[in-house]
Amino acid sequence: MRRIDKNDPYENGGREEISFRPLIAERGRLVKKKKQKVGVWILPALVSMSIIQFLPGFVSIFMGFTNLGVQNITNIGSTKFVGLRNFIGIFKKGTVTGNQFMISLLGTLEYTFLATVVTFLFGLGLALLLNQDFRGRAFVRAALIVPWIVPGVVAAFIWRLMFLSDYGVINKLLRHAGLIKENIFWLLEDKALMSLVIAHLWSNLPFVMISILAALQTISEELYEACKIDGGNVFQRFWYITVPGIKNVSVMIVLLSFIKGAGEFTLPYVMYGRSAPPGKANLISILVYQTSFQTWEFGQGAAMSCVVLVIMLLLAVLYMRLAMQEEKE
Amino acid sequence: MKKKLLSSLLAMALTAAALSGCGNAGQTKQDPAPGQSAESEAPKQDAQEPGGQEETADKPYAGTTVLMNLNTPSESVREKFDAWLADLQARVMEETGIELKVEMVSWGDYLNKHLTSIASQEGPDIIQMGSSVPPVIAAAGGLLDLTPYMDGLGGMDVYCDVGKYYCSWDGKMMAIPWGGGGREMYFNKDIFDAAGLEYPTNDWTFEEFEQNAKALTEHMGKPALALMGSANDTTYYFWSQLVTDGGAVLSDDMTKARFNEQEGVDAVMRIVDMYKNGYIPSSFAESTVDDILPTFINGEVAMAYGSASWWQDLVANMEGNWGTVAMPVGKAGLANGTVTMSAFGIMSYTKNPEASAEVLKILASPEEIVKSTAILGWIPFRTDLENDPAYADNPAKDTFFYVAKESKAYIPQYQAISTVLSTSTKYLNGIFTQAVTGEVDEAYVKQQLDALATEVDNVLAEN
Repeated sequence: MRRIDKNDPYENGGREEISFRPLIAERGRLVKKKKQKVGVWILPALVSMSIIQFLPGFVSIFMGFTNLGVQNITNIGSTKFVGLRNFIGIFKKGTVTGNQFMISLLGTLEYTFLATVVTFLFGLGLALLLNQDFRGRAFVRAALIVPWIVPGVVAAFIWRLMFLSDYGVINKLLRHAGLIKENIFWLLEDKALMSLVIAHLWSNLPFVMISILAALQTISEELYEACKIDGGNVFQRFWYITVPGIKNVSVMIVLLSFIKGAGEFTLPYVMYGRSAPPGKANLISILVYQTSFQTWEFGQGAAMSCVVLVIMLLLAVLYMRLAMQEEKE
Repeated sequence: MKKKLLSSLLAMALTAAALSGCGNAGQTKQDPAPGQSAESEAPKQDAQEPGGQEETADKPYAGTTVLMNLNTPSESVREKFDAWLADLQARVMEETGIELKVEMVSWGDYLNKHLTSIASQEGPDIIQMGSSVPPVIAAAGGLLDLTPYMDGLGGMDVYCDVGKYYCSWDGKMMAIPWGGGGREMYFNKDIFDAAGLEYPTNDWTFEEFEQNAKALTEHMGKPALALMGSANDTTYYFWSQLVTDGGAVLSDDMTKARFNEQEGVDAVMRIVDMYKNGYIPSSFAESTVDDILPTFINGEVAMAYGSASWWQDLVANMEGNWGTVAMPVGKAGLANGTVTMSAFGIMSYTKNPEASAEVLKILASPEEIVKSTAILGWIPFRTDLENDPAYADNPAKDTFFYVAKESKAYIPQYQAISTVLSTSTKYLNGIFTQAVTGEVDEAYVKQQLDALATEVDNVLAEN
């Protein structure tokens, strides 16, 4: 028979019952106090972020509803609230802005989608390759990171020179290899967007590759071995082990690529000589810049930015919801 | 506790640093960046106290500070330019008592910076601008009317007509033309000699131009002429062509586009036909003026439409094996791409208009113009300085001075000219793209120019 320790409060029949309620309440008070202290410490950063990031954003949205432009820049007080006039104007066919806005918007969406998908697929492929053990792997990894450290402006200049139809090295190599007979006009209307995607791929591939590689290396080898033992083929191992393992990172990468693509400015601005890039390659960020800072139509430029913001937010929220829904399932 | 104190101090310091970057720049320093230099200050004289009183008798502006924005020169001339600037500041101080502070701004950024200044009503007192900019800033009310000061600035007669045109707005002089150059046709002397052709002269016609292009192409066995079909230079070339043939970009009252009339169609077709005949490489549709320079230096082409600033690179890389000539003359006389003219204006918000005018008087004096423009490789837009020995080592000076004196302006003085320019570039690039990838005829060109005219007419109506 087990001896009962009467001093042990947990034993049935023990003389004392210890209530944990005061302990929980005390813990709650301590947590609340800590949160208040934390709040105080982050307040300066929150204030500065609000001033530097959120406030300009709200001002920009407000500007989209005004007629701020060259006619009233010296007397901002005379700016008038014009409602949705700017928003209607940027979609109006037959006007300079209206004609270009839809082209730029669709071009930006196309560019963002292509750049994201292509960069992700190439990054995934390279990451899978570099996850294998082979001789010289460290050197290859280091070499593949080099494009990441090349400044964007420099990369854009170099790609422009390479894409020039008569004097660029790409056409020369393709002709020497017998792949083309006539020069390809990489920088002209039809191919301009593809050229941007290729340049984007080169610059952003290292980041995607490294991120996915890091996620791959957290997947235990035992899972693959167990799958092999159970008769799983290469594709099944990839689909049932690799994909879930890199899913969270992939969601983040796709989202970041999307956001970056939507706001792409340096590449088209530098590749096309600081003038209007042709056709769809005149991405929305360039158009907003041209409208706001070259023609000084700030109201219209702000309206364009708002439209883009709404579209990108909707797409991002939709994507995140889909990704999280799948995770829950 | 120590960690918390340190964290809070760091957070406050970061917030303070971030907040100190907000607010008016006024006459504060700008962070140095590649291509820019930090603000330079006038050398302090030992006897001079800030706001000193001793010399006010003959220096009525003693104690006054004037801030001037200058556009960053190229690195190859930076040292000499900075030395000239220091001398200028010293001279201004000595003659007027004004402390002249200078802030460098890159050519790519200056319009944004001036825009910010106008919006905030604070910033530099004197600014430097490119040729199409004075009407834009003047229309926004950003420039002071310099007409009352022109006598002190040399008088209206000393300035070239084209310079005066670009610096005026609403019948008033809003800036003074200072220095620059233009877009000229550069030619390779060796290739001309080998082809047995005489060098072109400033009064050559379009027929002679095309004959030269044809002969050189046949001699070289490949396209001999480099033009740009992309970027705003394309539009400058087009506009100057149609104006030299008697056309116009816009109507006199700036309410209607006129570039889609026959002269405009002919100007575009001239370029298209030269491409079709093989005188221009197909890459012209994507080329900017920066792409063309190396092809000319490397001898890939015999003629190239280039900017005034080329000559220093050409001297360095081609020695004397090159020449320059004004663009061909059409029926209405020379209309050249004098788009690299630099002008100085006084901002309307300045609190020191008289002091700024005094600085401008010194800056626009013959000796300072000669010193500075010779360093930059430019020519002055004054009619009385052509024979100054300071320009002797510029092999292109005869052409530059000829163009400055003889050419007529073709860029309309219009506040929304940037919109017209960029829209025009878009359409022209579309036409040239179609020419290299497909087929273009006169009907297509007319259709495209009409569509462009419709868009431009809407811009004119809105503004």
